[in-house]
Amino acid sequence: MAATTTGSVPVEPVRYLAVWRLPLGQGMEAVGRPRAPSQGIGHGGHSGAYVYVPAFSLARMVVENVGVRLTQRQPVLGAAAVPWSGGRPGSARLFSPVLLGRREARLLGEFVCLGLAVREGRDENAVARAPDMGPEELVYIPAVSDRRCVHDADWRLLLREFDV
Amino acid sequence: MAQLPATSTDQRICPQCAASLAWPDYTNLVVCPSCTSTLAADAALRAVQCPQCAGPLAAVGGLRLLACCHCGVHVLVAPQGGNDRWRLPLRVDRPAAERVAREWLQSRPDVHQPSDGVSFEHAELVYLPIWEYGALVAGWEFGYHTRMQGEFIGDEQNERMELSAVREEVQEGRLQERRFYLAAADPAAVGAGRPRITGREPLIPVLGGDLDEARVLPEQGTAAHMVEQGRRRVLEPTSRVENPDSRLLLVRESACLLFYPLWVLAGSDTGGRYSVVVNGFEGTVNAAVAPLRATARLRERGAKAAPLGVPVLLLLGLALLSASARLPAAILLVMALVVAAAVFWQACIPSEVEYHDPYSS
Repeated sequence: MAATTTGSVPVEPVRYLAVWRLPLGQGMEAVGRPRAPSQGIGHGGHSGAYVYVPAFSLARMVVENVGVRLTQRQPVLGAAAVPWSGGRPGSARLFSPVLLGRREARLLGEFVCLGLAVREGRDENAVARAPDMGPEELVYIPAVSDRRCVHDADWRLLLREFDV
Repeated sequence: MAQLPATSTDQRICPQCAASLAWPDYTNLVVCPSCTSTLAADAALRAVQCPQCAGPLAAVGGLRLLACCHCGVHVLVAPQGGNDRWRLPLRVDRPAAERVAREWLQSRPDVHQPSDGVSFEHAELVYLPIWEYGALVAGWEFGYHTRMQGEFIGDEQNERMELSAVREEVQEGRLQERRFYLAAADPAAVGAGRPRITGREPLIPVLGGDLDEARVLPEQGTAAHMVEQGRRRVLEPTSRVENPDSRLLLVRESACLLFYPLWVLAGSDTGGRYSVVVNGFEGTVNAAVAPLRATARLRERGAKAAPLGVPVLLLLGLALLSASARLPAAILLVMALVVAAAVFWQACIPSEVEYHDPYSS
């Protein structure tokens, strides 16, 4: 029975969603979270924590939901999440457009940090104004469209941290 | 109606082919009629040309990726500068505008109607400049709002509802585009009101020659002043909460000038003068001045004079009832009748109907 229903599910192609990743200089304290014991200051003053700002959509629910969830879970991005330099012909349509520039991503980083504080029920005043963030890096995260994933704006991110 | 200043035109030389070309003051972009290069006036007159072969580029408003007509290379235009002047398309021509105005006048029962219809001797197309400031705003608004909550208390025989004020915390995220409009010229100069703009109208970039057949009102103020005002307005919290504490950021912003078409029609007959402003984009009446119909005028005058009837009746009653007060009451009665007659015939009676579109400002 399970094999029949699994076989009848339409297979969506894997798409790559553009997301800006900004390293946090002060760690999760910049987003109003207490620092975890394992978090330290790494090389170049970077604590290992990142703020994620979706660059493939300007809809508030998408930027808020996907950005906050990625920042909350701090996924470890492997090779699958980094764009490859070459590509097969016709693969460009699987990559989302990039709608935000670097400067805009930095501004929306504060928006995501505040969204994280609101979602976790913390005081928004604990979130630093203009949090200290490092240079922006554009990454592509693999995902498939799935209407059941309402918390992630109908995208099922193919990352281990999002496997329920 | 005030005389509008004529559109001034500058004579310049094309940097590509050295041809002489006329440059109207309402635009920043002109297409050279000789070599068809698109010329932009920023700090200096420059041609929008292909960096590969110096051939002309067909610049289209809003498009940042252009194709060279000669070598076919694709060129990415920088985000700064570019066109900042747009116009709304003219969807109503002169005959259609006159028809709209006549139909509107005929539909008004209080307007004087000539026997052979209203004839407009003067019709002019005028472009009204309007500043537009647009910004993508992101952030959060925090605060409180109070709502009334009803609760049934008491037993079955003595049940009642008690209302109490409940304070709720508000946390609203914002990522939206906001626009702010400001008239760059006084629309009253043509007897119009500023037309309503929703931000969803189609816009066409203004090139040299597009508005030569019309009068363009000169813009007042500067873009910098407009941007400053716009920033203040778009960063205001919109959630109407108590103790607002918002953290709103400007992600993107832009400022441009829109030119709105208006038809100004004027005519006159024995009844008086007619002046109608028709919206050249929507095809509706924006403002109008027309003579009042005779019956309506009489009705207006009667309405103005009627309150004076009360003291007249009182004085008449006093004169009839009291013999000693008859002479003073008679004198006052005559004076009141004279005043009523003056009000009825002349003073403070409008002779014209004035109309302004309720959605204009």
